[in-house]
Amino acid sequence: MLTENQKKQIADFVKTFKEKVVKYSQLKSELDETEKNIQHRKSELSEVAREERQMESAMEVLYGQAKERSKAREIEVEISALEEMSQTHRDEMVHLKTDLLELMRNLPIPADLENGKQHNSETSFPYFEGAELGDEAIEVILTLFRQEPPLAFSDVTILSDRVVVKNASERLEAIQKLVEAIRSFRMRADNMSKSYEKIDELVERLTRSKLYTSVLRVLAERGKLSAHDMAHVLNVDPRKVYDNCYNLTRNNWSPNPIKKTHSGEWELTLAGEILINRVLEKHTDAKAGSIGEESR
Amino acid sequence: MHLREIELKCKELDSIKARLELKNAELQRLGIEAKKKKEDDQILKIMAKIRGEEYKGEYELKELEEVKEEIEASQDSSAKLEKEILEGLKKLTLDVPQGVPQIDSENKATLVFEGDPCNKAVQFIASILNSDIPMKLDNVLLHPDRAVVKNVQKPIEVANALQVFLDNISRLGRVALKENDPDVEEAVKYLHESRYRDIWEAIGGKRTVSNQDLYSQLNLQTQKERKKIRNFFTNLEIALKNRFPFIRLQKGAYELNFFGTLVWKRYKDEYLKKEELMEEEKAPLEEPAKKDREEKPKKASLNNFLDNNKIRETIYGRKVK
Repeated sequence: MLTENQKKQIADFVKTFKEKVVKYSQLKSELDETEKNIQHRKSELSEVAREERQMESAMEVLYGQAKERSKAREIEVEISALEEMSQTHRDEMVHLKTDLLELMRNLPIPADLENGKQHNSETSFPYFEGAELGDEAIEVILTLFRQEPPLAFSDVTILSDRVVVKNASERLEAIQKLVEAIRSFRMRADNMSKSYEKIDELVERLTRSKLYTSVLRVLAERGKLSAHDMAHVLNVDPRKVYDNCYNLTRNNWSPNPIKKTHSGEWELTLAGEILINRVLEKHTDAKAGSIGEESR
Repeated sequence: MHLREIELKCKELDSIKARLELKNAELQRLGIEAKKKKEDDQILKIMAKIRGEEYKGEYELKELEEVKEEIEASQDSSAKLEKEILEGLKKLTLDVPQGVPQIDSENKATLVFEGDPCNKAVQFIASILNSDIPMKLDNVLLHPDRAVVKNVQKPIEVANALQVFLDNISRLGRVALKENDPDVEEAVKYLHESRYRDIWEAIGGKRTVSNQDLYSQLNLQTQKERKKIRNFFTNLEIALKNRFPFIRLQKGAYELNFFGTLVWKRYKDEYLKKEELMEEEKAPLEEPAKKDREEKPKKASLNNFLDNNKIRETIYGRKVK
């Protein structure tokens, strides 16, 4: 059970995060507005420039001297100022994005675990009072994660006022799923902010077994596969592949890098995608070597 | 060994532990004194040299060494006594009243022990399981002064439940002594070699489980796939008979019984941790002494799947203290 002080710390952390979220959203809408303005002024410029060019030719023919393109110049100056403003917004947004991702790496998910409500196989944990994330925060997190709504990690959906865990018959199981989902959330934030310490710990563990790496690589390359098909591609014993896949879905791998689909095949989870990309990034030799060779 | 004898040994163990605490405090005090003496000694040595005299040091650690020896001796007696208690649990007997047990209107039988309550003994047994008092094993509640058997209708059920309870306490003693229990071993082997291994591991030591949970956890969609779950429970009961690791709560819902908890713990140690080690075979080897030191203090609950600190750290982040 959390103390009042701990709940306050959580609420304060969420508040700081939300303040940055508001700034980010404001900047984004200002940037959108500026971009729209630039587009508008650019199309105006081409129209004005065309008119002034015609006028220039006419003046030259009639009076032997060209008229200055004053209006077009004005618009050009205006566009350049707007572009400068847009660049400033972009720079500020990059900084804010870095700050937000850094906060997200440790963002408390303010779920009140003591007051979870269970209905059938769905458990809903409300947020602590005053620590609700709110719609804007969820929207910004989705933008930063480049993810389509909802903000879901497997059976867990993080909403503005609560988290909902599906397919868990007991509170403890729901908490276990929530922990797994939040580990994926943080892993994603780590990856987006290029903070690789924790990811590299898992990568290191993963690369101790060649078959683990091969399984993840083949799933990354070919999508969903059965253990039998993977064994065929990797040229190893199907039972060995099954055991390895099975190990990767156990609790000692959290978040799990792979999962079993409804059709009984295996596929990468978000964590698995992050891990295999990092493996390939770090171990270039893994990229070069053939899968079959590696597993033998 | 009788619960009352265990009570006496536990009391003795407590007094040794209290003595140990005092000795440790004394050791700390003497350590600080010795450090100060050593510093003074060095200064006096230099001063003597300055005066051109020979310095005969008075600094000695005799008292400190004596306390260290006493601590070591107490630690040995404490370990010996603890071992005796655990050996005693392997053949525990209870002072239950003679005659046929009576069952009350709430379908429970209360068997009050003769003599004084055995607070320390029950506390000791409960501590192995990180359990509160009364300690609950399946349908038996162990209080310091009585045993209560719940959900029974006939006296024979009471007798059987108490017998199973004592068998389980005996197994608990073996587990704590790191000995193997033949029944547990057999069940573990059967489960690992059976075609239902993935179902058993999916249950993963959870206290209650239903067919529906397993369908969704293992993504079983068709009737044919789902039949495997039902077969698992049926065949397991046929194969393991009275060592079936579950209690059937209602149709399609089960609870892992105490025997099942021991089986799961042993299964994890025997197979899952081994596989984890194999997986990390290239990891640098730890020095054995350090590894032993780290393994000893483990006294976690048998079903400690998620540690509260880990949950809090993950959900609320590391910055919330």
